[in-house]
Amino acid sequence: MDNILDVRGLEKEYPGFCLRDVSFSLPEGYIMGFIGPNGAGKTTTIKLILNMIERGGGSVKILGLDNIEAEETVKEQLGAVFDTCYFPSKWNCGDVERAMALFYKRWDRARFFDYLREFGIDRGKKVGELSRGMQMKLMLSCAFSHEARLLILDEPTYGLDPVSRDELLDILAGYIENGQRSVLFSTHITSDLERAADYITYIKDGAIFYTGAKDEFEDMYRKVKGGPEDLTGELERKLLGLRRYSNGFEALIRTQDLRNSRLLTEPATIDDIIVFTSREDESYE
Amino acid sequence: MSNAIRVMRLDLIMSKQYAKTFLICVAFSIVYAVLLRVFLGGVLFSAFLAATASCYPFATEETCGAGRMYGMLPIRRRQAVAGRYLYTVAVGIATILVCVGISAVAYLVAGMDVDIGDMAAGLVAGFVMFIVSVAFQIPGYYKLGATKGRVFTFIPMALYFGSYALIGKVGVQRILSVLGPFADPKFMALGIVALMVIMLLISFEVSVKIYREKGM
Amino acid sequence: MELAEGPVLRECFGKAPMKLIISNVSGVPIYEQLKDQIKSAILSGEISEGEALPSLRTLAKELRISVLTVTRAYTELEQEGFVKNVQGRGCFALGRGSELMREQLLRNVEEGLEAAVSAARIAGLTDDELRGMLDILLEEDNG
Repeated sequence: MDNILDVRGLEKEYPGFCLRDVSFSLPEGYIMGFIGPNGAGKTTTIKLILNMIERGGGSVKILGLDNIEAEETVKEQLGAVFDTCYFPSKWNCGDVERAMALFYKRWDRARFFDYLREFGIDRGKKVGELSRGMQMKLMLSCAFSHEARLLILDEPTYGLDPVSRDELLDILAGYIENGQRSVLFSTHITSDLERAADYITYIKDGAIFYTGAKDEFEDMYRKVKGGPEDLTGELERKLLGLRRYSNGFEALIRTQDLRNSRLLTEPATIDDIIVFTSREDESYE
Repeated sequence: MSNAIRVMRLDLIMSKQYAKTFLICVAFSIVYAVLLRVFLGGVLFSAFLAATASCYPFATEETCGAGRMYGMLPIRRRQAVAGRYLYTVAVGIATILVCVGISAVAYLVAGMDVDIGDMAAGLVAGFVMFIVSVAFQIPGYYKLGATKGRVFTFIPMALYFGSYALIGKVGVQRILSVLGPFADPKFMALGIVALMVIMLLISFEVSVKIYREKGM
Repeated sequence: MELAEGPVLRECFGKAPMKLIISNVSGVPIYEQLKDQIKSAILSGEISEGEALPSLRTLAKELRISVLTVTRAYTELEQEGFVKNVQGRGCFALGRGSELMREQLLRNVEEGLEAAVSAARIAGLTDDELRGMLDILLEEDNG
C-alpha cells in the first residue's frame, strides 16, 4: 500500500512563529485527522502542501511526486475544501463548472451536476446565496468531479450545524470506501474525528507531537482523578496538565506510567489529550 | 491550450460582475470622442479605462478569497501571472480597437473628415498609454491588492491628462520634428513596440516575484 | 465515490442483516464491542460457518467508525480463531469446531468456573455445596 501523502522535514519561518521538522505520511484509503490548537501550524502546513506559500525546507510528495516540481500533475489529483468558499459570491454554479472544466483534464461535467443534485444545491443560485453547508458541499462536488485522490480539508466544518457536520463524515467515509483515496482533515473541533479518523497527526507549537493510528493515540493516555492525598510527588512527576481542585485533582497520565490502580482512571478522548497536553505550558512556577 | 490562456479565460469569468459598469464607461468614451469631436481625447480615455479593467480579477479575488482557488488549480504561479497579463492586454486591445473603430465609423456617418494619420497616431498613443499604465498597475495590485493598489491608478490618470495637455499644447508635428531622424514611421513603430514589450516583460517578472513571495 | 449504492449488508448475508450496535459512551473500546458482538453472532449461529462478514470498509462506513478500528477487530478475531481473512476475498466466519475457537470457548468456561470458585470462597461454601449448586443448574438447563 502506497502513501498518498508524504511530508518530510517541512520547515517554514515567520517572524514570531516557525514550523520545524514536520513529518508525517498518509497511506491510501484512510482519513487522517490533523489536529492541534489554533496557531499550532495546521493551516501553514496545509498551505505548504498545496504550495500556496514558499517552503523553507523539507519535501512534500503526493502520489510519489514532488509537489513543486510536478505541481500541475499533483494538483490534478488534489481537491481542497476550506473554511470559507473560494468561489466569487456572484458566480452561479454554471460559472463554477465552466471555471473548473477549463483546468482539470479529467473533469466530468455530468458528474458535477449529479453531485449538485444529490447534495440539493440549486444550480441557478449564486454562490453567495448558498448556505455555509451548501458552499462546503459545492467545494466537495468540485473535488469529486475530477477524480481527485487526495482530499484536503482545512476547517471545513467551520460555522456548520451538527447535522451538516455529521453529513460530511458520511460523505468522507463514502469517498475513501474504494481504498484508493485519502482525506487529510484539519480541524480544531476534534469531536468530528473521534469516530471517523484512522490516523491522527497532532501538531503543537509548530512541531509534531504525535503521528500515527488514532486508536493507539487514545490508548497512550488515561485521564486520572484522585483526592489530594493521592497526589504524591512521585505521581505528580508523571502527570500532564495537572489541575488541582479543593477536593482533589485531575490530570492526564501516560498509560505506561500507570501502576497505581487505586486511582480513578477513564479513557482519554482526543479532546482530553489536546487540552491536557496544552495545559502543560500553562504552569505558573 | 496553455495554462496561461486558461487563466486568461478564468480572469474573464472572474470579471464578469464588472462587465456592465465597464461597458457603460466604454460607451461613454465613444460618446466623448464622437459628440465632442475630440478623437484623441476619446482614444486616450478608452485606454485609461482599459487599464483600470486590470483590477477586476484582483478585486473579485480579494472580496471572496478566490486567491485560494488559483492556489488549488493545477497551474504554476508563473502561469497564473501570465494569464493575468494576457487578460489585461486582451481587454485593453479590444477596448481601444472598439473605441477607435466605432468613433471612426461615427465620424464617417456624420460626414466628418477622418484623417488616417491622426487615427494611427491616436491608436498608437492609446496603446502606449495603456501599456505603460498597466505595466505599473499590475505589480501594484499584486503587492497591495485591488483596493490599496488603486493608488497606482493615478499614474495612468496623470499620464492621460499630462499627455493630452502636452500633445494639445505642443502639437503632434512639433513632437515629431523634435525627434528628428528618428521620426521615420517604421523606425518609430519598431522602437515603440520594442519598448512596450520590454516594459511588459519587466513588469511581468516583478509581478511573479511579488506573487511568489506574498503567497496566499 | 459511487453514487448509487444499495445496503451492502443484505448482499453479504442473504438474510436479515446482522445487528451491530456500537456505543461510544460505554467506556469499552469500539473494536472490542465489535469483536464481542461478532463473536456472539458466530457462536449463536447467527453467522453460519463459511459465511462472509461485511467488507471492512463497508462496515466501517455503515457503523460510522474508522476503517482501522474494524481492521483491528477483524485481525484479532482471526487471531482468536473465529474468522479467517482471505486476501482479496474477504473475511469468513469459521465453524464452532475450529481448534482455536474451541480453545477460546474452553477458556471462557474456565474463567466462569474460576469466578464461581472465588465467589463461593467469599460466601464460605464448601466444595460439596458448590458442586451441589452446579448439579442443580445443569439439571435445570437440561430440563
